[in-house]
Amino acid sequence: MRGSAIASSVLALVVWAAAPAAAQPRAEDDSAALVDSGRRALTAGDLPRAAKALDAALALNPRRVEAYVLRAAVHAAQGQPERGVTLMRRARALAPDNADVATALGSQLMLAGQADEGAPLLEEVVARAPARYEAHALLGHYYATRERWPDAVVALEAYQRTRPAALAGDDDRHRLDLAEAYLRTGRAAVALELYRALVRAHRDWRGARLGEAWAAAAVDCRLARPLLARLADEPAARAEVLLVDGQCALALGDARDALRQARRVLEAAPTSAPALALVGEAEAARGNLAAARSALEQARALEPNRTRYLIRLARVLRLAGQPAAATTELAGVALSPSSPDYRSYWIETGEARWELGTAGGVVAPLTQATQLVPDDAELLTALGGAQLQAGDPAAAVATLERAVAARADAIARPTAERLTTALVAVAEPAIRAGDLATAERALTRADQLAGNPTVWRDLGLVRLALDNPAGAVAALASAGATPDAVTALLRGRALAGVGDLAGARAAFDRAAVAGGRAVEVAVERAGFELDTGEPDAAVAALVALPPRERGPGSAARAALVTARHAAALAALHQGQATRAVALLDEAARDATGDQAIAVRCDAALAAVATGDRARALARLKSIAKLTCPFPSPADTQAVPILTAFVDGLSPRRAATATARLTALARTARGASRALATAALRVVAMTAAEQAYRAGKVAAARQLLTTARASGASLGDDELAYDLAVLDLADGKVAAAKVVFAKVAAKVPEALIGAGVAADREGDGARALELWRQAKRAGARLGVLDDWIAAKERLYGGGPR
Amino acid sequence: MSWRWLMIVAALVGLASPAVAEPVTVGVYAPTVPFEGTAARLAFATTLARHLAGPDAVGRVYGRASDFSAALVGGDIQLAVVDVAFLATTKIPHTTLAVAVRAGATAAPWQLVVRAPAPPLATLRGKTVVAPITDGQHRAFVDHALFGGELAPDFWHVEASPDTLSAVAAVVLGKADAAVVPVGLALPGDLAAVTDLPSVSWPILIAARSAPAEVVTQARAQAPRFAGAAAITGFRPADAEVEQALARRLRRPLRLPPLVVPALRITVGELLVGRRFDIARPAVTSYLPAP
Repeated sequence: MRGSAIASSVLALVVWAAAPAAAQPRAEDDSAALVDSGRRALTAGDLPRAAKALDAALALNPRRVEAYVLRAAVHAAQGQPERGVTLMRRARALAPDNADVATALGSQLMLAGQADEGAPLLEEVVARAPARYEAHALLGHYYATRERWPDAVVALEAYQRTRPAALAGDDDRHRLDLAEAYLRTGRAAVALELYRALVRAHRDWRGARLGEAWAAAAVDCRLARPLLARLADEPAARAEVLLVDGQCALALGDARDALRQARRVLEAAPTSAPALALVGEAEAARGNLAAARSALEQARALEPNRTRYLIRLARVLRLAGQPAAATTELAGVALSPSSPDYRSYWIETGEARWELGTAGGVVAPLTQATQLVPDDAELLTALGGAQLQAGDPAAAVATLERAVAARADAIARPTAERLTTALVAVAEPAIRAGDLATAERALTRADQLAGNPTVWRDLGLVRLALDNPAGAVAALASAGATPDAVTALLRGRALAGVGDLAGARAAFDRAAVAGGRAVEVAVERAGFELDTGEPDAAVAALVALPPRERGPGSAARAALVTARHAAALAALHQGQATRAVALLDEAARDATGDQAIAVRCDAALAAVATGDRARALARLKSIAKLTCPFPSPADTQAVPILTAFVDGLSPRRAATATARLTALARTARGASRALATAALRVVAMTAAEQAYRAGKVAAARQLLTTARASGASLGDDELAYDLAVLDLADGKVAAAKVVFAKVAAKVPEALIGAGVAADREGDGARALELWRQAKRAGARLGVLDDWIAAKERLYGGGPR
Repeated sequence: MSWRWLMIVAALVGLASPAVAEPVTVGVYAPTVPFEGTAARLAFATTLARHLAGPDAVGRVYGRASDFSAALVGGDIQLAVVDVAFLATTKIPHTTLAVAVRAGATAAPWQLVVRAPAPPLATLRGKTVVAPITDGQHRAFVDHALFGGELAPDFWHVEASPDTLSAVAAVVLGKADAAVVPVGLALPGDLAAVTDLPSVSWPILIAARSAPAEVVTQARAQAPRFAGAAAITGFRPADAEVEQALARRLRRPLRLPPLVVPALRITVGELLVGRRFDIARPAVTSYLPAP
């Protein structure tokens, strides 16, 4: 089909090309008439008359160029292109710059099988004169013959654009090659449409029907197999069709059917290399890699120059996990860009070397291949991988995005994965450089393509860095229920950022059990717990670390000091002074600098709160010369006040301490004054309590008067209660009762006092009721249970 | 052998000769312990004496506080088992060695028993109640130690009974309306308990101040190993606090509420206002793996 297309095209084209044109100067002699006569005879197909007229014209005027062109056309039509070449060489000598002459010579050379000389001549022609459709046509078919499919596409498309309307009738012959060129350059869908149109117009064109089936196979084997089944009925095409059908079966995952088709071919032709190759691929698909390799090696032995089999063997080796062997096989081949296997060779080379991690070494040939075969997703994927391994992720991203764009349907998984890897490789340096916006864009794209744990982790990280915890939560959630430690840790941060404290805690728990990064996880958890007001949990998180992880200088050790310090102050606020002291003592072991001073100061405060006078005094003495981090002026005044306070808790020192505190209270300001007056009040009340227990009611009253005069706002209710107790001791029952009733809600011991008052008034039942209330309210008196038991013997409610 | 050696040997022989020592006497004055009778009481005294001080030791029993006091002060007895109420109210010098064990305990709650059916306590106003306290402190023992001073001073008439069994018998025979006795006593079927009362220690093993040191030491060591009959089955080490605690209870209680002292920690907390704690966490980007 292709040969007839070329021959008929040359004849028609030459007739058209040699038509009188304004560019052709003509002598006013008889030769012109002879040329016209020759052209008419040529157009009418009367070749002898055309030859005679043209020979006469040349005899009259050997410089008439158009006569040479037409006479050469007659030679061509007579199947004597060599004579046409000889004639046109003479014409070329007369008119070396004449495009018609160059075109005719090039055409005759092509017909004479001297394409190596003819094609460059025609390429020169179209370079100078892009409208020389006849040259485009010849070159297009020439390229198709040589399987230079990209060039064929360019030439044949140029012909379609530039040919005269009168030649439209021959378009389909050219389209047949153009469709194949499309198919061979990966534009299978375009090829399929063209083939379908050709089949509709020419049902008897077997090449068109085969092409339709091939193109359909390239687009979607589900479309192809019915076409192939019909073609299989044609004996001439049986083997070829069976093989393509087998390939389609393979593509559709039916390796057994592929093998069946291959074996059907082999039954008729046991040494069919393509069939053996199909066997190899089918066996590979079935996992029988040894059989696959054997079959492909047989095919290759049968047709050693058929690189396609070698490429398939390399693919089998690669899929079998032997990319080095695949690379070795491929390395021994040198393919020219015009080879039909050029594309697949470089794809397989790129893929094998990708798996070896050495694809960076074939960036240049792959780049060249993608220039020759543009918009080929597989080739671009191979190049993108090579660029990635060459350390140029930005170029890889650009290339792989082209690969994505080249496939209108779904993105191939290797392309998506490679592009994702490249995007991560772009994003991570951007993060380190502080270009978070670029990083987020890249990672968001990667997430869309083929998100993976690395992408989600990095995207969450970037969004956290951009202060977008909600976005980070969304990204990190993709990591599922069992992320790695860092991802879980970041998720904890993100969830904390959106206020999901329970979720954050669960994430930190996961981070702790995920393994690795134990110190970071513990420090993050501790920081989170501290932020949420749970310092004890912060301590627990850090203490859970093995001691070796909390060594000197470690972040965990410093964090533990802070956590313990915070937990101690929380304990102190909750009245757990002993625990506070213990925590602060532990913190003090590792605290340094200002924090060490703060810890010591707070430990002294806690010791005071424990009521352990000796310990408190010792600790206060140890910080007497330090400036504590208390609100000024308490930073310097608090320690002397507390020292006097603790001193005053000793009965023998109470008087001295009271005087000392009175003096300190006069000069103290702010928190110091509050502390001094409170200390004075507590000391005086403590001394009063001791005097009262010793039966010294008058002394107790005097001390309570001092307490009242201190001006402290602390313990007003307790003071009123204590004074009422003394009233009761003095027999002022009614006055005491009033006060007891007033403060009972805040001082539960007032219920005891009210009960005693009732008892004094002879109302034992009321006394019992009040004492029971006092007990329930938490009033502290060791003998209260005995009092209640004694009353209950009389008033019931007791043991019996 | 020189005359000096002869003198030394003679002296040593003299030291080693048997001394003519008075036997150790162990007195028992314990009206509250429900011995089955005088014979049981005497048998206990004799057994205990021999256990504490050897086979020559003698046991004696006393029914009246005055007789017992005289014997103790007069040096007639070196060791004694004495009701704790007696020790709590008298100033007789002694050394506390151990406390008696009965039914596995060193003390027992008491109870107020009457002829059945048991009436409310208030109905006993003006009645006669007997107590096995023979040292003259029976009223304080009942009203204060057992009833915590809750009863009016003239609520009832309290009379002393020679011992616990006699107290029970007095109620049974109608000579008294009620009796206070330790819980655990086998009461006759027509008696019932009105109320349980606080615990009182079982009798105390003491040594007279005049008792030889070796006697005291031996008695202190031997007492815990005593295994007696049902009334008193053994002894455990004790100190004078047992007696002092009961002495405090014998006094009419003066009930006064306690004074309270506010906690200073509220003010101490003001010194901590404004403290902020922060654990420095790594920059989030630091979690990016190294290239």
